[in-house]
Amino acid sequence: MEANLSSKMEEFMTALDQVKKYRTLVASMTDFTLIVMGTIVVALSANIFIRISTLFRGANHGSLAVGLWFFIFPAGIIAAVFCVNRKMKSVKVGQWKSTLSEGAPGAIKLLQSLEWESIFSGIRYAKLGFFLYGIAKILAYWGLTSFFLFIVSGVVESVLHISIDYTVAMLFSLIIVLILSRNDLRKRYDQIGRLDWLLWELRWFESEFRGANFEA
Amino acid sequence: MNSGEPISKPDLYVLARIIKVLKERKSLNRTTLATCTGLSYDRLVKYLEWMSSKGFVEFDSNGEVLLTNLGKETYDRLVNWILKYVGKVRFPKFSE
Repeated sequence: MEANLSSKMEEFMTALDQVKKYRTLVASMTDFTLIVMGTIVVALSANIFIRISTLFRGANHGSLAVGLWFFIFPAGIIAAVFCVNRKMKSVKVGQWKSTLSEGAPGAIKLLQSLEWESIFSGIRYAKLGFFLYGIAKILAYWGLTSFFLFIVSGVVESVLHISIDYTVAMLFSLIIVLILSRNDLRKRYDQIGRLDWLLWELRWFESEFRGANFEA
Repeated sequence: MNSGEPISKPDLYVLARIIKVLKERKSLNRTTLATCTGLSYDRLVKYLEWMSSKGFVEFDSNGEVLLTNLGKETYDRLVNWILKYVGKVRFPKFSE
């Protein structure tokens, strides 16, 4: 019986740990956006600077400008994704394990220490963050793919003298990104559903548990 | 021996710890019980007084604390009571 309680509490706390991770995901959204925006600013500034210097000095550094774009933009997006992943991995989980190892008393202590309103807002926050991060990731990858397609179309245009419609190229790159991210999108959709499920289950539990009265 | 106010609303966690230790060790003197449960001696004595008034524990002629059948039943009821609620919750499995 006590083992059952411990294993059920372990499931409980693991789910709450996951919510904690998703909350961190939301918090790191700001970093993600800042890194991507910063990358765009740096890449654009470098490009403008090189083109202006080309104008004044006369030497053509167009290939250097493209090369810098080619390096800075993807590096920034990779750095942003890496930063988010690192923050997610740094979240401390399983700190409840030593308390739960006490058995039933540990389970009681954990239940007593839960701050329900903070948990509920955490789940709602996590849902939103999960959704926004998904969109931000798609947009970042779309930007990256469009950028590569832009370079490819430039090469095609200069070598084969065939002009490519950029609107079509952008749409094409969006389709590529959506196809490549379909597993991630499906996973994200499932996780949001699971967070909803967890929210309802915990709301039920909290109201039942609070309303109940243990008579010694 | 005891000072301060008696316990009116005991902490379920503390009660469960005392009972769990007594279940495992059968009988203990107050000092050892305080060490095993991590409670201060005074606090333990207050809890023991409350538990004794409810019939959960009794004291033998040497002053050792013993868990009564009612104490054991109450602990099992407490675990069952929590399990009744926690057990009904279906936790989703999250992937990384």
